[in-house]
Amino acid sequence: MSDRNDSDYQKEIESLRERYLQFNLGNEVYAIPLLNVKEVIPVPNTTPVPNIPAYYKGIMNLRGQIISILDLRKKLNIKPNEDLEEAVVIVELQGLNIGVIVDSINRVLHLQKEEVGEIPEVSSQVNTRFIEGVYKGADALTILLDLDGILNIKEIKNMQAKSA
Amino acid sequence: MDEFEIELKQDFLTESTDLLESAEMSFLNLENDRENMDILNEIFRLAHNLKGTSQAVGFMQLSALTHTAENLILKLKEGELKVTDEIVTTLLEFKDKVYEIIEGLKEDFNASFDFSALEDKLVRICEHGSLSGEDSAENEMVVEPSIGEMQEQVEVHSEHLEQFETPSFEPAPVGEEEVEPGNTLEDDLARLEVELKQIAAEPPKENQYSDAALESLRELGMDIPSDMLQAEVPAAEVAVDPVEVAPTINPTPISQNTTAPKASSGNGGDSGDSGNKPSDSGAPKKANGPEESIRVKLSRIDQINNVIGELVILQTVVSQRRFEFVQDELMNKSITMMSKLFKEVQELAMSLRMLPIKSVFQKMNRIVRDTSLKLEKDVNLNLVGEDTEVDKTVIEKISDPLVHIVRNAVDHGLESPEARIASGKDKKGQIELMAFHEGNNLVIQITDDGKGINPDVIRKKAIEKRIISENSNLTDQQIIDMIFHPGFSTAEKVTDVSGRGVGMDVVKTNIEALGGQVKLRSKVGVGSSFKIILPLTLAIIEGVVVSADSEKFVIPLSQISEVAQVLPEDIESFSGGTKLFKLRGEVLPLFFVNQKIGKPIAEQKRYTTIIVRGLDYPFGVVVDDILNQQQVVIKKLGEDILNKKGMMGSAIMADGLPALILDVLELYRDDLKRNKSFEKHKTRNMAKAA
Repeated sequence: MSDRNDSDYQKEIESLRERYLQFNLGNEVYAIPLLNVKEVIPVPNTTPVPNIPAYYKGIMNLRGQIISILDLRKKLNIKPNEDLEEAVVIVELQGLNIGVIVDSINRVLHLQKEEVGEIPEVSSQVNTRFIEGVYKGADALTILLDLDGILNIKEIKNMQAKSA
Repeated sequence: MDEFEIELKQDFLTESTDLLESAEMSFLNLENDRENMDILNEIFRLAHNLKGTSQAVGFMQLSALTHTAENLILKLKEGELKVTDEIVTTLLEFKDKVYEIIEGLKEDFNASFDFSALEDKLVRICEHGSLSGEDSAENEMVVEPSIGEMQEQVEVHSEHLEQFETPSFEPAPVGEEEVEPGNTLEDDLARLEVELKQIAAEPPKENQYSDAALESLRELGMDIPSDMLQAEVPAAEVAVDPVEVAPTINPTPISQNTTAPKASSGNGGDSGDSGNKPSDSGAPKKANGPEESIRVKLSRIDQINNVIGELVILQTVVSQRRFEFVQDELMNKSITMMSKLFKEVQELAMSLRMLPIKSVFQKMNRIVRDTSLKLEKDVNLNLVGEDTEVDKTVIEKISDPLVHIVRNAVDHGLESPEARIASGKDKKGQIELMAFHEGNNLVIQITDDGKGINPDVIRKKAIEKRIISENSNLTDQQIIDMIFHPGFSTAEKVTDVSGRGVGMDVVKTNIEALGGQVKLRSKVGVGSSFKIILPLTLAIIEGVVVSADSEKFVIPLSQISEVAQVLPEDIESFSGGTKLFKLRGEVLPLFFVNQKIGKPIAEQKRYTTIIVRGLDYPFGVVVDDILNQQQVVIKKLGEDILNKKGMMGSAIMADGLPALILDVLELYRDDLKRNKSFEKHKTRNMAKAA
């Protein structure tokens, strides 16, 4: 166990929570909490899986672990920028490791709570259900995505509980 | 509850499962070797360890129950009681109960259990050496001397008592207090403890439990002897807390075993917490140079296997390219050496999942004991090859089928002692349980020297049950195999041990689900022998790598009956996409893997077709090509697609890419159903046309 005291630890967690990984999908800028991100890798060779939705790109071998790769652009109905696949973000959502394909990775954002606004009326290509908030940066708006909701992790978990 | 405490409790629960296994083993040993001090000491140490640790982590109920048993064991150890069948049975019951409690606690740390009946039994045996003689009138008599006896002990060890003494000694109206219902066990114990200390300090009065009090107890419908006797539990706690007292009262047995170094009890990780009890005697395990071991999470071992698997793949790439790109001789040599080491490491890592089959075999000891007692048969179980290693997952799953077979062997296989003597056999029936490796398989053989299976009886029964027809022409072996048929039970009368009609077919299904087989040989009058053949691990399967539209798939070899080349002219297409083909005169439905993965079907001169016969309806699956046959390590798919039908998992191919393992039976189950109805429809139409 660490000799750091609890409040320090809490602070670090908090600061991690406020950090987001910003990336591009089509012409829009999105971000997900850094705490969910395990790593970013180049787009790997994948093996297609029959009988699954189109946004499932396939499965990959990540150092011995089999991980599903999904195309976030197809899932969100965003027209990709040409067919440029730049990176796969490996995220951990409720214990599930999933890779999502994004156009490009920008940077890590440090957000203050007050900088995150309500969902604006502007039309985004993404259903507002899956938007946690909007960060008004200097240049553009960044949409904070609720990956849990988009990928319907809860339902997957439920399905498992039932089938188990 | 803080995390540390939770961790402590969880550790305790896992460890105590081990403790219980050793305890059961010792109980059974004790039954065969009743005078053996070593066994008694070992049992005492186990019980004491369990009591101390459960108390330390706060499972008070468990500690209380164990304490009761400990008292009994102490009496056995000190020779006050002789080991009887009854005692062993009760001790085994005690073990079962503790197991139940531990399992319950694993679910919920605050779970509460009812074990009063067992506790009562333990106490009664502790007092009388047997369960008999519990008439309430008699009981009144027995309670008295026992208090007196306790009194005696208290006097002897009064120095130990001092710490327990309470300042006031007003004798509580015992009878009245006893009647109070609805107290929790802890309350009862605590209160009784105080009372007994008082009683201990005062000479016992005659007839302290008045007839009137007993009468009122009876009216309340309470189990009088048990309540009276329950008082003995705390009594013993006051008088002979064995931890402190045992060395002083009876130094002889202890001194025998203190020679074993204390460190040895750390072996198996089962006594790490016992250190806080100074007199923990550290009884000798039957030690032949105890090897130290640690407890590791299975998931960690799997991780190691994953990483090493990857290393090996990378290593292969390096090895293959070294002649092309590496000129340096030393480097080439090193790469060769590394390849060898990697192989070795991989084998080691795989072997980490392997455990000796001992734990399952030892369970059978108990099964045989209980079953033979119930059936009043005399049985000797012989275990061979206990140290044969097999994958942990196999061990977990083989236990139930094995229990069933062993139980059957005792019940149906072996004759009654009279019948055995009549047929010139030894009165004691023999059952042998043997495990060994055969190629890449584990073989478990269960042999009995009983009456064997009479094919004529089976035949009669099968005809009676309309499983076969009267004029069917089956060999004796085929007839014997009928006992694996669902709904077949040959027991002439249904006993509560076996013979409920479900049984051998379930055994067979379970073993086949593990990718194994079960065979039965039997000779009338000589005995029967079951042979279970299992894969050594469930993590690796023999698979056939096929390609379909440039993708690789693995099909388990066990599902493939044969591979055929089907000519286009042998294929007939029907509306709705159904295709049938002819194979040596048999008409089978035909499917294309490409269709399942949404790829076009390429026209070919001949179609490579895999014939699958697992379901009651055989069918063919067309693949583009068959690449090779190899062993593959099954990897779980991501949980998000785990439930997709027809996919068993995935395997990492030599190129590092994953390939899906197709469960073709599942994959085409629905299509087959549709096909079947189509088939019926078609034959009906054809019949009409004719």
